[in-house]
Amino acid sequence: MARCITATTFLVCSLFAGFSGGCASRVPTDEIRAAILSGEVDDLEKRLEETHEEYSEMVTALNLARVRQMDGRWADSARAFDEALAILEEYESRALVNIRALASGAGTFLLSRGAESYFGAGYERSLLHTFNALNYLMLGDIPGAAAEIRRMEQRQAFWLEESQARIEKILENKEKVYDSPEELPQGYSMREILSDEAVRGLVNNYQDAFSYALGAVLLRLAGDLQAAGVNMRRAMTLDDKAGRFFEQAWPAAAGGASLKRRDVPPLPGKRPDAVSPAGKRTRKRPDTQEVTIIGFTGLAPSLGVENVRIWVPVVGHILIDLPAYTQRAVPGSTLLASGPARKQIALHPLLRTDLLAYRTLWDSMRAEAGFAVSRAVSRAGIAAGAYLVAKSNSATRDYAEIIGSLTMLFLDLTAQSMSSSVRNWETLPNTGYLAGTRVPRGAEVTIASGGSEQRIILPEEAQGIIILATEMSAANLKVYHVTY
Amino acid sequence: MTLKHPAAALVALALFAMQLTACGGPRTGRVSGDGEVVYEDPQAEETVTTHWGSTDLQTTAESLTQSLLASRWIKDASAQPKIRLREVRNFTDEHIDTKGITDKIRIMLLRSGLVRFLADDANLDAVFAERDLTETATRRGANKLLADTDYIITGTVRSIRKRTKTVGDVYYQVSLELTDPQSGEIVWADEKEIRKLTTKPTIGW
Repeated sequence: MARCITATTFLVCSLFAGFSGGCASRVPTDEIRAAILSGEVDDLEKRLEETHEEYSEMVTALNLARVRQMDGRWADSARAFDEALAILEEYESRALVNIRALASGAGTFLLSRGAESYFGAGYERSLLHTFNALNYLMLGDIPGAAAEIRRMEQRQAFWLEESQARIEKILENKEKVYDSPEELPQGYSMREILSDEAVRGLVNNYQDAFSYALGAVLLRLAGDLQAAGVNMRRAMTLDDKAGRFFEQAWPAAAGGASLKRRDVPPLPGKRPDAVSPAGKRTRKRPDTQEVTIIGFTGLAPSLGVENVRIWVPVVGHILIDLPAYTQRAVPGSTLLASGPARKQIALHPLLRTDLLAYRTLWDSMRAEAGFAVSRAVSRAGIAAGAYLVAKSNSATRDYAEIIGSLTMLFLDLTAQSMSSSVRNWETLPNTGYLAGTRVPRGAEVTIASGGSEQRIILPEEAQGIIILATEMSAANLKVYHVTY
Repeated sequence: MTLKHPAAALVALALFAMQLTACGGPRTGRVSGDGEVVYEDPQAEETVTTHWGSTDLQTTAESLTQSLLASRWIKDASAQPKIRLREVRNFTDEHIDTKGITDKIRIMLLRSGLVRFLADDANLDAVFAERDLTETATRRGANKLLADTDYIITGTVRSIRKRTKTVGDVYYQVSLELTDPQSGEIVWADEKEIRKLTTKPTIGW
């Protein structure tokens, strides 16, 4: 008997030590957020590179890719996004019944939410491609950006199959608890946020109007008008604000069934049409230039684990660990854009990562709550088992309560330690804006946020310009642009 | 160190599960220091993933080149036609270097000795730069050959990707066109279709 207890204690101690050591070397969420919000990301980049070198996880790759992107390192960012995608594709190609998933499921069911490996929520997988498209865009590779947008569309279709079936299965099998966020435990900090109308009003947890609207812009530049039209209509279906963006950017196209050929500008460096009948056509240079502004502000919420006390029939009150966005989204300052004579260019907020994150959490809440209860019960069961074994043995009878308590303590500490690996893509911005308009050739466009302001004079020879503005802090606004 | 009791066994099982999965689970995406490098036959069939690969590039170039060489516009031409390669546009959801396709086709066509190629978009700038250097010795008007294209080649690559829980299917369609730039007439067109299927095993690591 004593050997049994010794073995168990040894295992618990060694693995607890191992987990706490292993997880501690990741860059903590607090430090990531503080660095981004201060606008100083050089040190963070180095640390994230070291972390990713060591762990090679999807979440480390995504965080690294986004921070590199904020810093204007487009090619390096694209490489990190590709690594994240390779990890995701490896995960998706695993056998239907695989040992890693079983082990992860057992760990999540019995011990800690942290046993579940991160492979991104639906909206994160989709945004992986949307943000990578921006890298290709800023590198001047429009076909590359278009390929990423097509991947974004594919990813959403795959997620629909993966998540919808799972959600429906949960709804069929589970008892009718947590029908609405108001039914969640009183002490759970996410209760009010999940009840918010903006969260519950989303069409689903993975489609965002921003990705589709940006997709329409990029596919149009790539000359794929049909796909651009589909993306435009999807964006407008998802969000009324997308309709206002297209009315502003492409007034001729937004009202009709499809885009018109004359709205498509030639690609960067593209010569006159290769296939044209004899007799040259001269194109009149328009007096205006296209301006598209992509803006990001704030910071997405960060996922963690929250302990909540709930009442369970027969058992009484138990403490369960539920996933929660323990660090809320940072909305950021208002981004402003203006053209000649300070005439304001309306920026349309089409992306809200906080709403997508909260909606994803709500959609998985029933399963999460079920797992949390089972974890609490299994931990209590193991501790009770240890207590009963100790009690039944004359040598350990006097210490049975201590052994039971210690076992519970070890299990709680181990679970708590593992909880630190519950992460999300925490370097995402909270809000994404799009604006599109035409300004006189060679005009000046101003981007402002908080106390920062940057001016760009449009090169006269360009057909148009795409400006990427990221507000990292009130005093730190990064603005890049590419012309076509 | 035996685990005789169910409670102890359960703890061990759960902790084993944690070991496998905690902190993100097994590492992926890296070649270990023990990995080895070997040379393989470049013509060997490549089936690492369903993504566009070397075998697709080779079979596409081979198939379309043979078709083009067999067309009467090339085969029965009285003199070697002068061709310029234009863009093969990528409409897939992959980052396919379509220049790789056209380069391979140009090499195979040139090897046949039946056609002549003019500088294309990629090396036209270099040609003009070289010409500017010798501008004093050569008048631009004398360089009629560069603009005297008999045909241009254009094309597209498209894909359709489908996936279920167990099966992944991707279909590629690569099409090329030979066009007379003076009349705008498309004199030849052909396509290469590729379909790849992948199935997930039922049980695995």
